[in-house]
Amino acid sequence: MRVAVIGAGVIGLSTAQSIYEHYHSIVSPLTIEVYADKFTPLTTSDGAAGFWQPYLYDKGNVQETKWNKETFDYLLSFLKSPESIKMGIFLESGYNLCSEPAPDPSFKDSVLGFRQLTDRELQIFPGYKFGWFNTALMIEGKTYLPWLMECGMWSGQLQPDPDLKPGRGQILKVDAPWLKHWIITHDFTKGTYNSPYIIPGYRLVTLGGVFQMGNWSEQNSSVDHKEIWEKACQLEPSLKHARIVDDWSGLRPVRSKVRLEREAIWSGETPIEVIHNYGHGGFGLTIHRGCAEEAARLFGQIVEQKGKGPKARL
Amino acid sequence: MMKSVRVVVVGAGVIGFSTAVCIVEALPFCSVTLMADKFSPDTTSDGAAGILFAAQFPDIPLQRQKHWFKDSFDHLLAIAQSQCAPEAGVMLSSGWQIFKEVPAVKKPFWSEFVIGFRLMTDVERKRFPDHKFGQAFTTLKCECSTYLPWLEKRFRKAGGQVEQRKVNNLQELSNNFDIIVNCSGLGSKVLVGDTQVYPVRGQVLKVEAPWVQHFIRDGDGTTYIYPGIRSVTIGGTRQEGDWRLQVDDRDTKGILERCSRLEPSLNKAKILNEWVGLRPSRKNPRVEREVVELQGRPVPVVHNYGHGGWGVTLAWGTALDTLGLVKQSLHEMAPQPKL
Repeated sequence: MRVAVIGAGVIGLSTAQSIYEHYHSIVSPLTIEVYADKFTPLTTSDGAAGFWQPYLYDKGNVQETKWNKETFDYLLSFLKSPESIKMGIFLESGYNLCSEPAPDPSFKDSVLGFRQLTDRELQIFPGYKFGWFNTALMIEGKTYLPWLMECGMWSGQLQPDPDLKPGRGQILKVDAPWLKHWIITHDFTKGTYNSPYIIPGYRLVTLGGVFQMGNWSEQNSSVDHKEIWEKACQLEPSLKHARIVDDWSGLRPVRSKVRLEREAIWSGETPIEVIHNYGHGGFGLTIHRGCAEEAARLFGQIVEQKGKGPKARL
Repeated sequence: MMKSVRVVVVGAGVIGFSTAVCIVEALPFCSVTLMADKFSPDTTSDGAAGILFAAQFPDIPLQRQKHWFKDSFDHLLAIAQSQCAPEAGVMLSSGWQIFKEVPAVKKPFWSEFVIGFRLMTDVERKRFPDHKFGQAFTTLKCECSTYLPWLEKRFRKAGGQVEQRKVNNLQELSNNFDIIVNCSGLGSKVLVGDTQVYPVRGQVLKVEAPWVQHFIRDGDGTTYIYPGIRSVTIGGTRQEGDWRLQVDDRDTKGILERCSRLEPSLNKAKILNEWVGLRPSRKNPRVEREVVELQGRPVPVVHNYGHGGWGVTLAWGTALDTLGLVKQSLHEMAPQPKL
């Protein structure tokens, strides 16, 4: 069988990996080719802070919560091994801050040591009255993507999907190695990621948050830069002396919910089987493994239909 | 004309400088000189990881020990939250203290002063299969190779004088100073003849492992991983009565083995350097005052030494305590025009 995976961000590469892992010994030969116009380190996944955390609430998309947890557990299982460094994954704890009490987030049972913030902790963050502390995972795209499989180059037309819109983000990268905790603030009036966040990474700290729906510009905006920097310094005064190293903008592939399903596209007399796996917004790294495994499961259905695999169920 | 009271602080480690800063900032009518043989980066404090934990001393009232810890913690927390944090070398650090056997005391006295103290969940403990119990909390790290120069700046700004000189006995000082504050750590063994002071040798490695964001400490105090601003300190050893300052390769091997068991990714970490320090240990820290007859004069001497491996943890709290004792000594001295 020949499989073409379109897209070489975290979703494309991990989907290719899951299909390979489950089927390379069952379907022979199995050729998987990844096509994209951008590969690491130029994809959206590469620019992301690389922090595992879903949006606070899944709005009834319980399937997404399940995939997020599956991804977390999968990554966590690698931590015992030195392989984890090659993958770019490590544990990091931190603070989710709100200006008013809010219901527990969807991920409270996925992360480690989830608890509410104590009064003492809230004193550290004036202006915030409520929040949570937990230990989560970092997953740096620039390291993780090379670790996943990689392949050839081809660029082509993809189908338009009116539900898919860009959610423009801009971030600063600064040198502030004394920061060891992520700090994410939430403003329910402004919406997800339109509120400051500070995410220390492997070598640099990512400052954000901007989430501009419908903005296709991948240029850095000096207005956004100023806003991000000032808000971050307010949240974490020690940043005043941090050296700004880089600016980056990316377009989150936003959709009302993830499109993960099969579609048969007719080209002449034989249909091309397509598995869609896109629309992960700002939580691609967070959800990638769960979705990749589901895509592999759909692939299994195709394998059975085409009579290419053993009768045994996977 | 008013003659100001001349105070000398002996010792330029974290205890010496913390004490000197407390005194010079609180008592503007005193002239304060800090005198020591060794300065940063050559003090015992410089190699210490500087993570704030406390032990419980047997003979000091618990209330006083609580003050020591709380005052130190609050002082450093305020710095951590300010713009000065990177310049002072202070940062917040979260992590876990784990025990192979369930300890007698599950919630130590200092648990109320650190941040977010709780017991580890079962899922968290799964990462450490050799350990049955653990505590999770957020504390502070204070890196003396950065903090001591920062304190020195603060000391000088408030009018303090710094002199590099090895002090061999208190007599030498009594000509030029009215009050002696002894922060000489292990040096007190010779300087004031305290036979109760003894070294506890500690060896550590500094490694490059920026992916390690949490501290992990075995409750026995001998195996620990402390991520810092630019490196991760891993250790350690506790060799009582051992005066050796040279690196011991067997200890290096032992440290790497024990720490890699807790955090396997450390196998890939590059070793940046190794260091040995002698913790200035004593059954209890000596924070008290006395009057010593020196060259025919009664001279107030205030002691602040013997903090063992808890120097950074207790520095500010014991410095404040020492300041109180200096004030008491001032009140008892021959009347000065104005206090």
